[in-house]
Amino acid sequence: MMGFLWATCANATLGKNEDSIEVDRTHFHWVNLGKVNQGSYNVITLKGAACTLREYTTPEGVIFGIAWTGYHHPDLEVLLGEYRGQFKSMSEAESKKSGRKKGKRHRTLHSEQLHVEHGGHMRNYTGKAYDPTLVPKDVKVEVIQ
Amino acid sequence: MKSFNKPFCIALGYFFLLAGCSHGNSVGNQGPIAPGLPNGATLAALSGPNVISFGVNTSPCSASSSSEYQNKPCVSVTVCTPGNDSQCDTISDILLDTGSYGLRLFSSVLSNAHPTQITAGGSPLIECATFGDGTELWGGVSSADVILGGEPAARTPIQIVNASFGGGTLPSICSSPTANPSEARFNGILGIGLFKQDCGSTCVNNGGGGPAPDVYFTCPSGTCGPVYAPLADQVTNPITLLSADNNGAILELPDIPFGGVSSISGYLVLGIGTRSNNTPGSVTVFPADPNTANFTTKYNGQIYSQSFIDSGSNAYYFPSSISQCGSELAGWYCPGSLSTQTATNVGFSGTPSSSVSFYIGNLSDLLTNSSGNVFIEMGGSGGSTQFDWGLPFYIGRNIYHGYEGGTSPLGTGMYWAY
Repeated sequence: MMGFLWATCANATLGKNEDSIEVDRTHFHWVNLGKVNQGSYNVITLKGAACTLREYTTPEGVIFGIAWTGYHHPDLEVLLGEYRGQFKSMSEAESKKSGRKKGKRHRTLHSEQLHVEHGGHMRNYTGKAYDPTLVPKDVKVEVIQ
Repeated sequence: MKSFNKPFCIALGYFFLLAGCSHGNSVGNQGPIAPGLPNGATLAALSGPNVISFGVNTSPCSASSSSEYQNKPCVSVTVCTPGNDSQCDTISDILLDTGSYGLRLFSSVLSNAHPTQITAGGSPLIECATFGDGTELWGGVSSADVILGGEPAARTPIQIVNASFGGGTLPSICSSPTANPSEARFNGILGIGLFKQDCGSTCVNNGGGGPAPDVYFTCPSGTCGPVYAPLADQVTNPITLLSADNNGAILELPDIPFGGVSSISGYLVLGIGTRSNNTPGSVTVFPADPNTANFTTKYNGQIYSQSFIDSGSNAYYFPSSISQCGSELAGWYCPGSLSTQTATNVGFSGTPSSSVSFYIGNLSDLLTNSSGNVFIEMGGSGGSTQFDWGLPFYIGRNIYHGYEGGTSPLGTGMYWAY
């Protein structure tokens, strides 16, 4: 089951072409609410049963960031695609650091190639993930939200 | 609302305190308490069946699970087998959390009480409860008699946390649930935020035919999948199920000096305006968005529309240009000296609007120079759409939590008031 699941999403999301969004959409039973051009980037919004996902793409169609709002955080192991190994090792490294032990209720993981944030409260979680190296030069990372 | 010039009063008050003006409010020899806060260093004693003492880094927190866990509020709760008040457990070291809804206890801390498992389609109903820090709690939903303070028991769906419950392959959304109290650093969570249930109508089958949200699950044949759950089966804030004192809750904490103290104790008061001990004082009421329980915070020229007050967040979490600490404390704020900040909180739909001061200290210095665990000036970086008013905001204040649909002299919930 696990192998099948990951195989389905091997093409998906961060760093990949926006065509992969259709794979995600089908996998998660999301509704595509459409693509909005914001000048130097596009936002594609997908709505699930209890989570809204926004995927940010370059004019060339590369997904450079994702952001979510909802009743739960999305399945990042799937959504991060080929970044999931990096995500796991960053999570594990963070949990060993003392900063993690201070009862922190907002989580930020950052490396040169991957930035992930979790936050919010029950029934209204938010977060985002992006690859800083893929964000177009004229786009501020703050737009990913 | 009309407190536009309040920051001036606060600033003046601070200077007077610094100048040695004796208010008799200082605690020990650690200097003046944080200025501008109404409660002072000592709370007036409260009693009654609706009053529950709680501790921040003191009893009923466990000493071992609370070290290096600053600003941790803990409460004790008694749970019993439904209908049998001779089979009960009183559990300490439960996180008092206004940012979630419902009681969650690790299965390992129960011995006498036997909550009754709730089923869905013949299988045990299970939940994956997720939290703001990305952690997850997995476990069955059971009915228990929950006793809060001196109130009568309330039959309540609670989560019995057990990462291996259900015997199935966990859904990928819940792939790394917290294993035990020592990893969680608490025995459970008492969620007393503004909503009644932890999911609400979104998790109720409306006949639309789509997949259920990834909140409630069953594992009928070795694989766990999402299911709908009626409101009556969802994990629920037990205060909202009391026969009285169910329209809200007040958290009261004393003020403390800058530089930190080892611990403080306060009161969780059930109900708002239902008894003489919970009659509201002069407070500003901030209605919250009925869909999200958020309000708006304006800070540093930015508008944060998904802001909230949360005792389970142990610091202020917000985006800021304040200097951050070094790598061992990455993500925490470390300004050169104690920094007074001002923000404006705005109720859902635009009113009221009221400015408030808060303080951010250098966390690295605080942890180095103080043996304290409770700090009013602790903050860290946060999300780009939200200002998370964590436990430090509760220090020195009475904060009123008006529940979804509840009515009180302060209005109809949901709202915060302080």
